[in-house]
Amino acid sequence: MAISSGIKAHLPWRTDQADMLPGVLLTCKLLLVLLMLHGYWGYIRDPYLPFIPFLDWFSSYPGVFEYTLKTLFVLSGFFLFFNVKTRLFGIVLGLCVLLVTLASKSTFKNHLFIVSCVFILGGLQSKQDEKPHLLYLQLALVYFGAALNKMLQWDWWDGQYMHNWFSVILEHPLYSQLQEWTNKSRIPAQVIGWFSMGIELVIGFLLLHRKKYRLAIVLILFFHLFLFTLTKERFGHFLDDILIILISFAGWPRGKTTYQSNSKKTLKIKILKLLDWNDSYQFEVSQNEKNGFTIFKHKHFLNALLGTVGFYVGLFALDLAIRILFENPMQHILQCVAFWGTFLYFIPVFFEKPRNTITH
Amino acid sequence: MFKYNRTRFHYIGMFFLFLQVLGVCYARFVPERFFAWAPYDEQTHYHIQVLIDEKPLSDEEVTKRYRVTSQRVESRTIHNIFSIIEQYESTYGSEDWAKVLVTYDTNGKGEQLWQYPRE
Repeated sequence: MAISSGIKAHLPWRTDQADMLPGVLLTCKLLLVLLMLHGYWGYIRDPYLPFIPFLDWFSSYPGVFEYTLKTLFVLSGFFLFFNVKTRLFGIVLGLCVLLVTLASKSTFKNHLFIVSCVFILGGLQSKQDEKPHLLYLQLALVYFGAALNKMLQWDWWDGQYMHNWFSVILEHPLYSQLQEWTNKSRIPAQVIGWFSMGIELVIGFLLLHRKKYRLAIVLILFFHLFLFTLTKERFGHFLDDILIILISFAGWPRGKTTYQSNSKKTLKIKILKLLDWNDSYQFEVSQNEKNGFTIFKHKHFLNALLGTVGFYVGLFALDLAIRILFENPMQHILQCVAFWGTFLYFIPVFFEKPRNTITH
Repeated sequence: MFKYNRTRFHYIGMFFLFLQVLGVCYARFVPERFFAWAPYDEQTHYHIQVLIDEKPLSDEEVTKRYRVTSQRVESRTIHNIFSIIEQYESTYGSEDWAKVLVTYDTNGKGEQLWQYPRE
């Protein structure tokens, strides 16, 4: 049965008909799901050792703060999910998460703070903007801040931090082997430390340049996948946050994009139609190239996949399934294979010129 | 940067980002690293011990008191933990006259002590 366009616009897996940029809306929805999966509900409590002393006033009225914020969180999350006033409710949701963070010093986490920032900035971002520049600036700030803090500590320069992390805390077998080979030298630790500081600084700069943002995305993906492969660490859910934020930087189609193909029944077209929940792509069957239309080639398939909701939801679900079904080390191996495989498969997209397709 | 519309929402967003820049700058003048985008810049193994009326609290009681685990590895600066303890003991727990001792080792450079009240 066909679904009317009015209902279609409010389906939770559609992101094209709301007042938020499609990629930003998907980012916000996935971050909301991530928060709930990580038990964020339990974080929403009355203030306890707040950053702002005024919030202690609520301790005279137990439950008022907690249940007010829980109500606002649920309502704004519900409306965001069903594409109602998404910018407004994105901001409300972000303010809720920020207020919960401000209400308790002992539960401060960078991976929660960044989620609140993305909700707020995502809501403030106009749909008419070319790209979510506020989120680019946010990520640039995150990487500059991280690099600056490291660079001002001598432990990062002389390898002490990395040596302690890998040898004492992680007891990393590869690092132990490296230590043996290099006669217990700190050089491997120094190299990893310098690499981390350098790449964070470079990412910060690249994110500020319009023509270099694709390289920034490649470096972000490479850096975090490298760290994850080496340490198995997700840093709370900071890794997940960053990967989800990158979704908003993808080339999301505006309106319908039409490709020309010899047949509508090729595997790639079938896959694309399966994952294209926003109905963004359509195909014209033609043997000859028509003036102005683009013949559907592999590079278009890769680009088009990065503009579909189903692709990202599928990756999110795959990662979740691996975490539920497998224990380490198998879990880590499968995640590395899935992450690196996807990254390498799509890497040609980041080094080509922007696509040239017809949109209606 | 990318093309964008200079709406009032854009300016509010820029102001929100500016506040975060202030947070990063402010962290240069204080030992704590809240709102400073400083994740995983230190690794500190610590253990908090609390005495009230000369009786030690259990690890569970300490965890419940500060809402931070009584002993573990803190992946941000240890001064964040000190800040939490100081705030608790100077507000909610000021009548307890608790003596707090934190033994900690930052980046494997050797054990150090921190205590409250400070001498």
